[in-house]
This record gives sequence, C-alpha cells and structure tokens, in this order.
Amino acid sequence: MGIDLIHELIEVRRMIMTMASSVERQVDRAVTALINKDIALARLVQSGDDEINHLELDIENECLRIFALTHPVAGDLRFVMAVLRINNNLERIGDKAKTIAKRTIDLTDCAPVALPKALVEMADEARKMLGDALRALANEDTELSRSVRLSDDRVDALQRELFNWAHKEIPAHVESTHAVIDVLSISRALERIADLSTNIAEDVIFIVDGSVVRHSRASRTH
Amino acid sequence: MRTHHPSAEFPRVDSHAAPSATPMHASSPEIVVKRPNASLFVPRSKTSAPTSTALTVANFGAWYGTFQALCDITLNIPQNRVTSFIGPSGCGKSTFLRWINRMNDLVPIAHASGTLDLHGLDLLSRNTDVVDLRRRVGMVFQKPNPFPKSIYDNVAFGPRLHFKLSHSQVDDLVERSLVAAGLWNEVKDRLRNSALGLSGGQQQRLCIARAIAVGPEMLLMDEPCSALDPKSTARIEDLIRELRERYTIIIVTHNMHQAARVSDLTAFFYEGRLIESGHTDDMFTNPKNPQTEDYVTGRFG
Repeated sequence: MGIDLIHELIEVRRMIMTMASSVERQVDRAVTALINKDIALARLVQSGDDEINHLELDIENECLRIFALTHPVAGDLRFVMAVLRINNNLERIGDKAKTIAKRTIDLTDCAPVALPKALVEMADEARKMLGDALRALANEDTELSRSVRLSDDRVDALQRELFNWAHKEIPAHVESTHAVIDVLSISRALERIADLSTNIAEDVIFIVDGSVVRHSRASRTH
Repeated sequence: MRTHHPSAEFPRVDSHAAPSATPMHASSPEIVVKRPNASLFVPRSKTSAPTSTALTVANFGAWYGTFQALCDITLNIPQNRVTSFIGPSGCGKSTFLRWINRMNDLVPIAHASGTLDLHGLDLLSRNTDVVDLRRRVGMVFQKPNPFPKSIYDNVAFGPRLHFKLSHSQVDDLVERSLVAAGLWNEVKDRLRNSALGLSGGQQQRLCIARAIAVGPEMLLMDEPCSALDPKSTARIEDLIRELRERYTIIIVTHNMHQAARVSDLTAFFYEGRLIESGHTDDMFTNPKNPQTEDYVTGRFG
C-alpha cells in the first residue's frame, strides 16, 4: 500500500497533540490532587498512565513507518525527528505525574506537614511551563519556546529553596521526616517536568528553524 | 598550468532569498544556535577539509537562441568532491553540464557568457582544444552507451586516440580502468566479447571505465543511475564514492536520496537560476531557501 507523506505528517501531528493533551491533563490532575489532598483524583492519575504509554508506542510506530516508507528530508525530517523526542519527553512527564500522585497518596498516611509555599509555586510554574511548551508546539511559536527555557531557572531556584526548608524542617519536627521526604520527591518530579518541558520547547525551535539550542543555557545566551 | 585557489570554499548561495524569507533567524539573534563543534560523529561531507576549486563558475549565462536557459550562475566546484545538481526538469542543470565539456558546440543556436574556468583553462574560449577538454572532462550519460565493439575496445578507444601506446600499455590501462570502475572481475575472462552483451549496470560501469581510461580530472554524470535497477544503482553509488578520491565529480540526479547519499555538496537549480548551494547535509536537513525546501521535500517539481 502506498503512503502519502503529507497525510502521514498531519496524522502524526494529531497523535502527538493528543498525547500532549493527555499528559497535560495528568499533570494538572496530579498538581490539583496534591494541593487539595484529593486521594481519589490522585488514584485517577495513577490509572491514567497506561493510556499515555500506549500512545507513546503508537506515535513511535507511526514515526518509524514515516522514516521507512517516505524518507523525509528538510523540515519534514526535523519534524518527525522532533516528534520522536517530544513523544519520549511527554511519556516521561506522564511518569512524573504518576510519581506526584503516588507521593500525594503517601503524604496523607504521614504525620501532617503544611505544604511549603515554594512547592505550590513550583507546581504552578512547572504546570505553566508544560502548557506553554505544548502551546509553542501547537503554534510552532519559537518566542514562547524561548520564554519556557528562561522559566527553568526559577524552578531550579525553588527546588534549592525546598532543600533548605527540608534541612531545617527535619531536625525541628523529626516526626515529619517521612512527609518531608515525600515533599522533596514531589519537588524532584516537578523539577523534572520543568526540564522535560524545556526539552520540548527546544525541539519546537529545532522544528521551526533547524537550530539546536540544547546544552546551551537559555539564561547565558540572553 | 594549473591555477589553484587555496581556501576556496563552496559558497552557500542563497541568491533568491528575500529578506523576509528567513524570518526565524532574523527574529532570534539573541539565541546562540551553533551546533556543538566537538561532535564525535562528524558528518561525511564535513570530515574532509575544503579543497581547492576545480571549476570556477562566475556570472555564467547560457542561451538557446533567444531563450535563456541559465542565468547568472556563480559557483565554485571543489576538487575531489562530489557535487550534485538537483532541480526539476528544464531547470538548466543538464545544459550546465553540457557546457562544461562543450557538448553544446554541436547545437548551432547555443551560446553562453560569463566565466567557466577549469584550473585556468577558459572553457568558453573559441581557442580551447575541445578534444583535449573532453579528455580532461569525462561524461557519463543517463542511458549506458557503449560502442558496438568489444569490452576491451570500448575502454581502449580513447587512450588509442589520445596517446601513443604499446599493446602492453593499452592492456595495462584497460585493466586498471576496469578495476577502477569495479568491473574487472566480472569481465576479465570475456574482454573480447561485445560490450552490448553486458547488463545495464555493467554497461554503465563500462562507460565509467571508458571515461576514466583517458585520465580525466573531472567526471560529469548525467543521471547515471536512472536506467538501472537498485542493485546496479548501489554499485555505481559505491563507485562514485571511490572515484571521488581521484576525480572531481558532478552528478545530475532527479533522485533526491541519491544526491543525499553520494554528494558532498548540492546545488539546487530552478528555472535557470541557482537557488541555493551548500553542504549536502545542510541542504537536506535545513535548507535556507523555501524553494529548496519545497523541492527536496517533494512539494513541487
């Protein structure tokens, strides 16, 4: 059977945007569950990961088919290559949402600890970065991609803040140690979501103008 | 005497790009977008240092009567590299090739202007010895065209015409040429058989052997694989990669992937103009001109 590249590119684009919205929903729900201590919602996030894993495999297969049968070049080649990478990054973001959900459930079994403000801010920031990266992907918006790269520094700073908080919190309230570790795990997952969103934003720049901006820090180049 | 042009590099020509054609680059000067220099896996065409220029083309134009087939072409063809010419039918790439060894002399209405300079030899001058030029610049055509003679005589024909050679010298030259064209092992026991009994792929390699037997410095190949099956095509492509060590090669091809596979540099022509030229890797991953992008991705042409 023949294969029409334009049609396949539209299809793979539809698939990656479906994956993107599923992952965004997972992260949204995980963060909401965390802030509202909503166990039912956290469990929904845990069960939602399977769908993302299936989507990842479908997209990978579609890209493989395009490479094998149409030999894309230039902008088409960059797009399919970037989709493969974005697909992988989205799947890992999905895993991190699941981690947040698991730790949220865990937190309710521990001695209670007030969620630090930095964690809430971090959650908002990571969620926004993911949303912006995905909007940049949908609209092939390199300006928005660049702003996502810049936000990553703020998330890193918040995570350092949380480590400092943990250093003080554990000796002061030893009974909360387990909860503090959960909070740190969640912050680690959020920090990874921010990193992976940055990767997606960088791939959008690659799709649009072929520039490789990975491994060159956004803040240094501005 | 040969004129060398040290440090001559294949220029990235983007003669048709309007300033608005590359808005993404223009709008983002603040981001450093260089690829890492320290890549462990250096693309093929970038492994070799730039070579001197074999053929200098400047402001070259070609006409058939009043019809202008090529317009203001400026391009350096580097020595010992494979340069592919791509573009839709009628874009002038074959006309260009035909001017390089003056095949257009046979077309009374054909005329040209500008510079075509092969190591100091003015290819457009009336005084240029065309027979000698064609020894220096060999040509391989789309359809294999062996003479209706034996395999041996096909290869020996040119050397006998150009040089005074003993029988053993001709034997030696025929063998070396057939070895270089990757055909020797297949034909060494039937050198006196008719060349027309060979397969299409073998005939094409015989034509390459015939072209290199006279000791050219440049080989022009006009769609050399378009009449061949995939296996023969792969053999010719391997051969092109080997011949690159000794000859400067220009290949005209309609097969984008062939251009991507065999050439170091690619030049894209459209409607008689050179639209863009540069490293093949760049031309197929990130062409600068939207017309090139459209062509290599199969959106038109």
